[in-house]
Amino acid sequence: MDRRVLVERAGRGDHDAFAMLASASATRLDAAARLIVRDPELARDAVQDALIRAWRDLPGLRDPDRFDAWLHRLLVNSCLDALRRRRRRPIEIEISPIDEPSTADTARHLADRDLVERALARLDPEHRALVVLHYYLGYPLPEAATTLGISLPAAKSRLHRAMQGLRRTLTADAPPVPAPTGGRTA
Amino acid sequence: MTPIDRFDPFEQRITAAIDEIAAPRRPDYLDDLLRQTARTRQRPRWSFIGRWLPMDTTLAPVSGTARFPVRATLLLIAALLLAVAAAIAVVGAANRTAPPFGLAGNGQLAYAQGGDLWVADGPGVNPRVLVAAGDIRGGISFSPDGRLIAYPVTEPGGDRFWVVGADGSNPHPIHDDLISEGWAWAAWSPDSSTFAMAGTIGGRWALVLAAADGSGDRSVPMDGYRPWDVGFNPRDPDQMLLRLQETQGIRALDLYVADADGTGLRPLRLRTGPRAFGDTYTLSGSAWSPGADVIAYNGIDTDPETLITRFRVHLVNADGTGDRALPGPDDPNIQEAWPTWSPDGRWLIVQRWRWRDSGDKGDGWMAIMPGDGSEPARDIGPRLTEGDGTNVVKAWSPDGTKVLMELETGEVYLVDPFADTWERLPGTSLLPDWQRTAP
Repeated sequence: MDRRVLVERAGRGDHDAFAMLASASATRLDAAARLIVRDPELARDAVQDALIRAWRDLPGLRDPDRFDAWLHRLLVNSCLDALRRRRRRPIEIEISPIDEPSTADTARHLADRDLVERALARLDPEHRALVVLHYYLGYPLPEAATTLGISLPAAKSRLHRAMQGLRRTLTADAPPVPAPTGGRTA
Repeated sequence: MTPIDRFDPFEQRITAAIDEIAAPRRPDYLDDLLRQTARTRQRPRWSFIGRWLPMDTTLAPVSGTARFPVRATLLLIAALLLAVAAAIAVVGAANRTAPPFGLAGNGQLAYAQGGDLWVADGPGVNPRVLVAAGDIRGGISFSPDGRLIAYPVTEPGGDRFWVVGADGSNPHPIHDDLISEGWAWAAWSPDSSTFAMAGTIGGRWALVLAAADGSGDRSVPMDGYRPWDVGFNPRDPDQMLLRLQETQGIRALDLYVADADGTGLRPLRLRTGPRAFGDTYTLSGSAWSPGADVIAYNGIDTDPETLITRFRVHLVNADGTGDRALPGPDDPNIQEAWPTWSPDGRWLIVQRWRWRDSGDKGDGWMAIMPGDGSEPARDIGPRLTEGDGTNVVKAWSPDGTKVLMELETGEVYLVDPFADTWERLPGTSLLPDWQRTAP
């Protein structure tokens, strides 16, 4: 069934239609939440909160074609809210079991994953959310900025800062984190 | 969602690593969750204010045509327009066009708030919506003559610049292709006829000049170069200052003075120093002085004693001679960059910061120095503190007595840079732009 039709029907109270939408989105939502909050329990809470709100507020969505973007915004807000409510404590990343590398390329690939994971862990939640929106969920930067409720210049500066942090981690003599874009309105 | 093409090998690595870290799996709590939503009542449609007002409260994209309010708000908007027209009739006759450079009178403030374009007669004075678009997120700028306002509207896939009269008249888009990832700089020509943009436009790196009246836009040929930043000579609308990167060889970066049609490229032949912070920031932040004789820009230097690489403001003559670093903070861990000239060219406001990763607190603030760099900058204004980030964006008032300052935390301040006093501006979290009026 056409996705737009599903959204329209769900907005009119058809829970079966909403269940189809949620099932199609849940896997990616869960993965994105785990990337942002870095805790499977917290990610589950954030996804649940986002989907409950989505069901409750779906009648207010005027453009069904914007459902995914709207849902991702709910998720990001839920993730950041969950992190703010929670006390700081050491967080363990759930790492899926992996096979031993059999080739040099595979070893480098796995090393990248480990390094990126650690580098992501060092980012602020807001920076991490932006990286997830842009590199995992595939949002162009202007739309990622809109989703986070920040200006495009702020998004650019945060993303550049996050990327330079990642670059430094992945390369031996990578430079320090770069400057944010200040001084101009663009 | 259309996948973004990743041409940068490093970005491809990052994306691949994140995809693997995410390791998607169907959540085992989904069935319980759906049972819970089935028991949850939806909000009725009439309870959403967006259903009643023409302004979208959701992520509805902005179409290329003007919005038409519902019948219930037509009278209200008509009344607003009448009020604006009346104000213009009373005040407009006395308005004269502002000069494109130098000191000017302080007119309206324009800023983004809640996705709309707002104006105020002064800081906190009579704020009102000028354009209700729902997807304006900053980047607003008055034309040098104060008659027009350019503003980007976010659409799926990128931004599109519109221009509206300072009185709210005739909002119209000024270019066809969207500006997507990579857009950083846009600038008015000093005669207010043209708006220039550099970035990824229509899916490719481009420099685009758009007529402010909406009559058309054109892409300036930049064969062999990637345009990063664009600005105009404040005294010559036919001369631009470009930051270009060669697309071949060592991909060298330089600042170029060029004719407005893209011809006559004349490199300033600046030393890039260590490209420690990437191409995005090498020779960035260039700003032509109001007198058009000096260009300020972000240099990246190495402290000779500590070997710490840091940002320092440079000045260079417009012909490329006399490149010099301005005296920065004694502490090499304090970065100094993003020079902004006062309208009379006598002063420079800069951004200072320390990165959290350097072991320091990670804060940001402003400083002011003489425009000739004869003295080190003096710290002014409020300060971002640890955990708040380092990003500070600023702009001078047209009369050169105040500075608007936006902190990364979303606070906007009006700062007296000479008395070092400041007050918080309510109503916006994004840097306003200040209209120039006749002095």
